[in-house]
Amino acid sequence: MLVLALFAGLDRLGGLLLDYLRDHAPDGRYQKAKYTLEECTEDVVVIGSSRGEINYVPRIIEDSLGMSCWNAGRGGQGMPFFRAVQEGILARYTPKVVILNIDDNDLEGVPAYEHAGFLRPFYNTHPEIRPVLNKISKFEWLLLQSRLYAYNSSYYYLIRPYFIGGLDGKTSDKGWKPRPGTMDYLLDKPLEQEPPKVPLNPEAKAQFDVVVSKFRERGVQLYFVVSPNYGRSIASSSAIDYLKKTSEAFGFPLFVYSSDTSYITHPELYVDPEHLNIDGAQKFTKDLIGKIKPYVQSSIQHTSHDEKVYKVY
Amino acid sequence: MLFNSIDFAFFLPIVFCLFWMINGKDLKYQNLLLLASSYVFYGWWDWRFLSLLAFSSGLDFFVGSALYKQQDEKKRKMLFLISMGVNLGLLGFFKYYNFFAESFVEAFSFFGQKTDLNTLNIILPVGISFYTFQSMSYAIDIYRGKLTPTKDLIAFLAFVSFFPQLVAGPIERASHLLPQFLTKKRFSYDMVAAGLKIMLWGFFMKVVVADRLALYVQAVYGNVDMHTGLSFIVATIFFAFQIYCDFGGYSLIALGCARLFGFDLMENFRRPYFSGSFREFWGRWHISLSTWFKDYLYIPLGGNRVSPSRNYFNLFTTFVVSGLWHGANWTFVIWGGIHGSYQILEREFAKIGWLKLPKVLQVVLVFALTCFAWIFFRAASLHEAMHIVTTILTHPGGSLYTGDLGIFAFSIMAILMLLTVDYINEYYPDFSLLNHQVVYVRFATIVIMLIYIVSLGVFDGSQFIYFQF
Repeated sequence: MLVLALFAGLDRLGGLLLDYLRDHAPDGRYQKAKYTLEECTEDVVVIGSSRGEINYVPRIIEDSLGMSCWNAGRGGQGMPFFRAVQEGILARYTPKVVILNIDDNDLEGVPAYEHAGFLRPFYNTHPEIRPVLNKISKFEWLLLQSRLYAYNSSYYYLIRPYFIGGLDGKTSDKGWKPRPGTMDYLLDKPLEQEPPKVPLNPEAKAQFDVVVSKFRERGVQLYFVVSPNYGRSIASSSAIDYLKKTSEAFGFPLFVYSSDTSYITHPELYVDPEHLNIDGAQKFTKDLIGKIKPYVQSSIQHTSHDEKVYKVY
Repeated sequence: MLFNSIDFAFFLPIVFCLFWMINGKDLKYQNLLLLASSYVFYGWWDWRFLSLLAFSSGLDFFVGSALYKQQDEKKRKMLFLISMGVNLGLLGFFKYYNFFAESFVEAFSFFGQKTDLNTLNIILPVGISFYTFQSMSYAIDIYRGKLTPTKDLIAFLAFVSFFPQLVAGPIERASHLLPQFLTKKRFSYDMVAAGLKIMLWGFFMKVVVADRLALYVQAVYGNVDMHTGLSFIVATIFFAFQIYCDFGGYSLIALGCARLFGFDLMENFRRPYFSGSFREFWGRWHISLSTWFKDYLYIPLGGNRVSPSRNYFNLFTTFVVSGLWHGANWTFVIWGGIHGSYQILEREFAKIGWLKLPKVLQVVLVFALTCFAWIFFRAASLHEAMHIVTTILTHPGGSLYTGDLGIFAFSIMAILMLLTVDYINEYYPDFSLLNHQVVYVRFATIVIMLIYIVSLGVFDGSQFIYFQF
């Protein structure tokens, strides 16, 4: 009993210290997550995984649209994280525009709830994200009574910004994680053509549907984007087909770049086959925002989605 | 039910309390409770396979009794063959049917013959290799006249299905464990405290070391086309520690858990990577399985009381079969064959005095060669294993894939901690922080370990590697 009491005391004490480190980080992934869940009020929000975080440059979006923008993307994430971010943001305000980056093979596998465990340090202070995190395991709610468990394995990334700044992007980058350098391998890789279609995972699909319907209910202009990969030409996949269907059903534009040869055959735009480098991200964001801009401008005059005609690119 | 699951965290205290509450009453009630608990533990995974467990152990109970009573040698042999046939038949069907069917078709295709043999969608019952071997040893020992059968069916069923060691061993012998089910238990604080400490270190090995290393190993071995020789070398070394801590950790949890109920299980791992020879390695690695194969396969084949060439054949065969026991894949067979070859070469080199190296070099050499064999154990196919071996031999350098730096750094930390503890246990066995005579040191060690496990353990429900065997 004494051991358990001592452990419980140290757990609380350690938790307080870790909360402090989280809340005062100069930058880094926890600072970004905290900003997303607690502070951001930007007009435009980008949601996605690593390609969301790396490929979209908020400054370019801001300059082009004349609206403020925050990139809430986070590497290694998927639909559960998108749901948590959505809940966190909608609990405070309604952004005007949300750009949702979806990978061409997203929605095919079982949603990786455990990846959203990255948000565990916010579990106690953000009841709105608890339903998502509770799906990691049936006793997650119990485990999260431990403050140390909430920070399990996070120490490296929690402490790193105090010593090395900007590795996950500077605060002035507004959530964007610029990746310098150019890919110097797989340059002779033959262009990979359409892989066989894999059926969508019903749970992932259901999660996606919730994301869409919740934004729709709140009148958010939602844009779906499938960003490019080097050496892979994917014009159609189960996820893309479903995005097209959703896009047509609700009038949310879809932009498919995964078969765009001005990207997928240009290694100089990539830092690795799945992520654009700084030049690539800037070119991609300018290109994308040029296409989105007319919709955003027209929506200023029209309040209902139904009045507009959307084109699937 | 997994040891590192919350379900088990509820299950164990309930069973523990009930067990000691009925202590002092008829022993049968305690055994009945253990039997019921073990079946719940197993059924938590898939209740349908409880019938298989009950059938397999029930058969050996009745065959054991009949064997003991039967005087006619022919009938005894018949009974013995029934037990072996049914046990190995069930194991063969559930574990090896698809492997042999596919290999059969491939062999015929190689000679230009097309053969159709359908594979089946068979679920491998968890722990079948373990409980089958444990149950078989009972019948074999009675057949050999080395064991008197028990008349207590409940005790026997509880012995085969004893939940701490049901799904991944240690593979206990009836002569060691069964009498413990027939003896009254006495509660002792020291016994329970010792059990909990053993479990704590087992959990540390499992969730802090093994599961942490598994993340890096999976990233490299799961994508073999993308990695360099250096990354393969690092991933293989990581895997050597992963499998040791996965299985060694599990065995310790089993041992500690059994201790909570007053049972004493055999030691299964004894710091294997401090071995200076392969003979020593197999005396420290998966001891319960090594001795099982020694007693029930190697010695019946003739052991070392035969000509040297026959002895080497016996050794090689034992290791190949041991490899196959680990899994229905040619990679496991090759792994067993490599270890069989190591044993033979080691004996040949010893004859001409090639092995007179300093101890530390012997340890490094044995570890390096063990790692080489692990490549075949871990790779998904022979093709992938050969790709890894070729890359390491032809391009051993290249850039090192670190993956997530946090995971990589914590992996290195975990290995260093493990090696430190194993080094102390190996060379300074009297020094133990967990059992230190100063109470504050003991408590502080336990609390620090708990904090470390909660802070840096991997808790995403990963399976124990040995469950598949």
